[in-house]
Amino acid sequence: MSGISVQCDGLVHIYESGGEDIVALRGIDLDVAAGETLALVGPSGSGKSTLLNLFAGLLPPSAGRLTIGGEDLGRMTERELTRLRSTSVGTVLQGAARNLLPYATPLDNVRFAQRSVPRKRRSDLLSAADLLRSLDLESVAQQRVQRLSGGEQQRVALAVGVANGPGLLLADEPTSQLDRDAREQVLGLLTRINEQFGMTIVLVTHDPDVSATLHRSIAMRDGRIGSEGRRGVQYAVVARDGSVPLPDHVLEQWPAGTRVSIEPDGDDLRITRRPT
Amino acid sequence: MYAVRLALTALWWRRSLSAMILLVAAVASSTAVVGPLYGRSAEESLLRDQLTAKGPAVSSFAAGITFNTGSVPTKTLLANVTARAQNPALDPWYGPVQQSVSVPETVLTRATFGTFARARVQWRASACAALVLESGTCPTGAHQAMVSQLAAAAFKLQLGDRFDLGISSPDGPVQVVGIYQRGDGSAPVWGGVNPFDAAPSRNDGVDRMDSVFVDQATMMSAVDDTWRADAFRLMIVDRVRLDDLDPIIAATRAGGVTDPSAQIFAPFPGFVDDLASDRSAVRLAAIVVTSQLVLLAWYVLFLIVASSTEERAAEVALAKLRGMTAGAATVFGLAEAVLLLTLAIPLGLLIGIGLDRLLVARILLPGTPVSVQWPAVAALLLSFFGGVIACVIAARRTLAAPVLDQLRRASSRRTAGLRATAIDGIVLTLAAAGLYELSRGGSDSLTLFTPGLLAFAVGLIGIRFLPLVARLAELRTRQSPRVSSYLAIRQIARRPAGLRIVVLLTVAMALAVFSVDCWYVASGNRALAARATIGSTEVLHVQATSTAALLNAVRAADPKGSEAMAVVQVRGTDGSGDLLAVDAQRLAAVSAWDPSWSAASATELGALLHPVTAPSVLVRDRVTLVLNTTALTAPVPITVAAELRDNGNRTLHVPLGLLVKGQSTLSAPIPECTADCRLVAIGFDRPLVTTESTKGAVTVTAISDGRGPVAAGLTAGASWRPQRASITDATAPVPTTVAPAADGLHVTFATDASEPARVEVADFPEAVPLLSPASGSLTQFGNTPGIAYAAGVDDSQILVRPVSAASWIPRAGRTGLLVDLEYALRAAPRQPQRPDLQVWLSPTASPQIEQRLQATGVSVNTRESTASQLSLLDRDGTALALRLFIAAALAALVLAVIAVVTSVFVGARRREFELAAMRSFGTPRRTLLRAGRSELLVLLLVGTGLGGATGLVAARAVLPTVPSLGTGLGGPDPTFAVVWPPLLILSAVVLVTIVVLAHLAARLIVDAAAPERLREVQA
Repeated sequence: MSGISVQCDGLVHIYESGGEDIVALRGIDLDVAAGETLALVGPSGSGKSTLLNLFAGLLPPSAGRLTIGGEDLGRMTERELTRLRSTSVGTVLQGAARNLLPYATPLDNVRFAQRSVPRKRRSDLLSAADLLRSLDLESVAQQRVQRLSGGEQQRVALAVGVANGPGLLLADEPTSQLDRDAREQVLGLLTRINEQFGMTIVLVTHDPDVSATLHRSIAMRDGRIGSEGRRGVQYAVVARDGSVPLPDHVLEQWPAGTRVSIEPDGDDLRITRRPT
Repeated sequence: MYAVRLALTALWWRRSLSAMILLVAAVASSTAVVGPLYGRSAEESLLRDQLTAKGPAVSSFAAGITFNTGSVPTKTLLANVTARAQNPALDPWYGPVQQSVSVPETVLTRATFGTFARARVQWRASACAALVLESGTCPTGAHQAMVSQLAAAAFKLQLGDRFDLGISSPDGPVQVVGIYQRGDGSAPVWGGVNPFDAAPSRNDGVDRMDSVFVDQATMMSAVDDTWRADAFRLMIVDRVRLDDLDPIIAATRAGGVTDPSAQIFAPFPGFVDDLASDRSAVRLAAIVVTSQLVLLAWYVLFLIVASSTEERAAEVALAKLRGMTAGAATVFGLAEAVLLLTLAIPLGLLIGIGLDRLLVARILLPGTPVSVQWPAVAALLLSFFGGVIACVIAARRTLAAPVLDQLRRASSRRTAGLRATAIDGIVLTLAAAGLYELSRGGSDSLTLFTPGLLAFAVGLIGIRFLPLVARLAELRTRQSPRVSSYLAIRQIARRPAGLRIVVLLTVAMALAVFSVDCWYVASGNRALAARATIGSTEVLHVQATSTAALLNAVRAADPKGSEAMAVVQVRGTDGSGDLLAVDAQRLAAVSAWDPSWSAASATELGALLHPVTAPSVLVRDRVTLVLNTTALTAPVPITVAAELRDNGNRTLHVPLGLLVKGQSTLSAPIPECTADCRLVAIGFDRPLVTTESTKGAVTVTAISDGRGPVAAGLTAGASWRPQRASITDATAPVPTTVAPAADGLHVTFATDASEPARVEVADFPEAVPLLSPASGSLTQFGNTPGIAYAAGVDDSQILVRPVSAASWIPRAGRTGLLVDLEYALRAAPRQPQRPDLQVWLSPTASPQIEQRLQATGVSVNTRESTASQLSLLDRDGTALALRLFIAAALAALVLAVIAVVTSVFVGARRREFELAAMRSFGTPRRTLLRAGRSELLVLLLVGTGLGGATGLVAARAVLPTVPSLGTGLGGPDPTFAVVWPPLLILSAVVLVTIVVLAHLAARLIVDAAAPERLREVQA
């Protein structure tokens, strides 16, 4: 088990709704290194979950290129995407219960997730019991999922997400609806998964505390990457087309249509507002 | 193993839904099994029924030889045919060989009378054991014979009398050593040859009497042109099963005969061929009926699995998210349903066998074997695979949806409209084809498919229109202050999935109404046919010394006239209808007369057929006439004679003396009349050889018998009338006149050569009142209006007067005639020679009535009853299929209830968030409850209403086309009017169930929709 990288190059996703084409992602350029942990943050409708679904191979790219572990998802068949999900990508949906068979125990849920792993690779995997033990979930392994607390369910959901030994773990708001202790436990588990298995983790969150614990966070806005944060510092990111999104507080003062002049100033750029 | 364990865990977790699916799957598989099982059992029952009903005539096996030239001893020939009949291949199904040697018809002569009768003469090994002796013994040696009681009475044979058999052996006459009672000629022991075959003469004046039985030695040495030796074996019906038919046929055809002139009587193969169409009908009907329920079960399975799969869409999405291939995800999605279907296989088999046993015990002939054959196993597997296909179709859309759609529970319906239109088209075409087939008469079994098809078509049309109607109603309810009505209508207009229930209910209700309607109408027709065929609750076929003796005996046994009625049935000849002579005044109390058969009621008919007449003139020991002859022109002597009838209705002709002018008293003893005899007529006879005309005028001033003067109505009233010279020639002159006067009965006579001159006592109508067939016509008696002539009880012509017309005469059918027995006997100049003597019993007849009849000299040979006839009709193929149809239709209703409950159960979870939102906006719970109830009531009532109407219409269309439901029952015109009470009860039960279901379901949905649910994350 080791992490795999993710590369997005001008990634666009358009879907149809009510007879109209909606552009959900407007050219995402993003590189996630193997073993890196990344938080996708941003308001609702900014494209976070769409990007996650593209990473999981559940949606096809409309344009641009998406490479996971060196494989171009845009060129993969449905069968290859299925294989990708069975071997390389683990997904944890929003809402712990949605990731689990409600009538089965955590042990059976982990086994269920391992069923689709090809036989050759299955021997390399930790057994369901060993996986739960290694993630300190041994005590709940035989309990019915419905009887577990929300935090326990979320941790079991993460265990199920990594059950197939993926190089990339995708998690959609894994800490939402959890109390503080449970959230800490989940974050601890994510960190442990990353450290223990070297797994690349991309998660969607609204919680700044959660994004702060990861290597990197990407703020999305209107289907684009608005800014990037590393260790508490926010940066605007120059896109491959040369565009740079302005931070929100600047946009409030300089609304769309404002004319500016941009001039180099040594290593920096000077942006000056010009009268209309 | 892990997959199975996981599926079992899931099944337990969803146990309510699992139980529903298992129940429906079990209904499908058990119904599929019951079809062929019941069909097989019904065939077995039909086979035994028919074998029992038709007896040895179709089932016995016989080897016979006729015309012995004398070159081979009879003993050898009998041994040859016996050897042929003893074929061991027949042993499993046939009893021991029985032998007989007979001459089918020979002329019997007596030394003093000459030729007196014809008869079959036979020796039969089992005869003595089968016959009941009236007196004497069974023949055990040469020159011994045994005759029937009827023959003894008719031909005045007594023990010790001798007559010649008319065959070469034995030399000299035989002596009557025994007199036997007539019995059931169709009893198996007679091997299909009725020994009680007395009949009036055909054309030579020699009547035929019942068989004369002699001993073996006598027949062994017989040589006659029509000599016949037989060896026959009776089938043991209880041992015969359908599987045995081919081996039996092969066995009857196998084996050789040493004598090439021997004939084999093996009607069984022909019987099997004749039975094939009935067998096929019952088999096909059972499969047609059950297959409809199986189809319905599959449809319910489709509905439930479609709903449950939608519920499980997120689990399937999870499987795909974990990298499961489409095929593996499909298996995962269907595993639970398929597991339940698999579990339903043994369950269905057990239930099916149990149901079959129950149906066999309740409906079919007792002792009908039950066996599981390959068609039942094939049907079981077909049911399983059909169920799997239904599940696959139901789950296909959900399983094939993209993962994100599955997670959102959204699906594309782009092709639904096209598919629905295609299905509508197919069903409507099939329904139209079914109706066309019906209009052409159809076949009994396949027409049973029509109601289901028709209901499905109506249901489909209904659900296409219901949303449109709901949308129109929505506009009106939008303005209404009743929010609940708007919500209910809005929900119907936008929720096409719930409309599937309407189709299901339409079909289930249509099948239920159709089957109940058909059953009760057909039951009524069968009961009517049974009553019409038998005549009364029970009919005893009896033996009595004479027809008149029977009438007297029944009257003596039941003086009140409420329990029994004497009846004589005379079979019509040359295509004419039977004559039924009944003791008419008992008709209303005893017979099962249906008011629809004639304009007059049974009571009115009693009075019409037996009008008041002059009293009989009864004499005993001696008869004396006091005459005053005022005119006499006769070249030859005229003998005055009294014509009498004894209590056995036998005619006595008593010459009293020569007629002379002036006062005379003529008298003669009548030793035959130690009891009262009826004075029938006074004749003025002349020698037969003369041809001269005679004329005279006589006053009969008094009649007396051995006891003194007799009241004879000579001075007043219409006690006497002239006797017609010819019944069939209305133009023939009436040779006498009568006129009562103060000094006595004035009689004049004037005859030519041929006419008898008689005056008769008018103690019966000259033209016997008759109930004639509504459609038939009688031969008019000259120009006399309202008078015709017809064959009487003795086959001779009598004058009749139709008093009413009947569309049906019990036992005699549409062409039968009904007369009063007493008057018919008085009108008959001779003794009836081939009467079927019967005693009809009323429903209130005492169990002792037979003993009382026995005490009066009437013995019972065989019996028939309306109940047994009805039971026989109830076991007809279509009747059996209809019973199964009712069971299937009720099961369909139960299935529909299951489907409704499941739909509500699954739908509740889907709608709880929507309703929770409405409650959180302040919509009162009561309003939501009312809306839910109204919505369900509309759906359920529309479904059942459409179904009920379709069932009624389908029944009206099918009933007249299926002969075994009415027109082919062999009874009077059937009625196809709706029998409302059972349908109203069914409707009431369904209505109550609907109201309760709607109320409970609405509560379930609304109670589940607490506003707190909105805090939970909705998928």
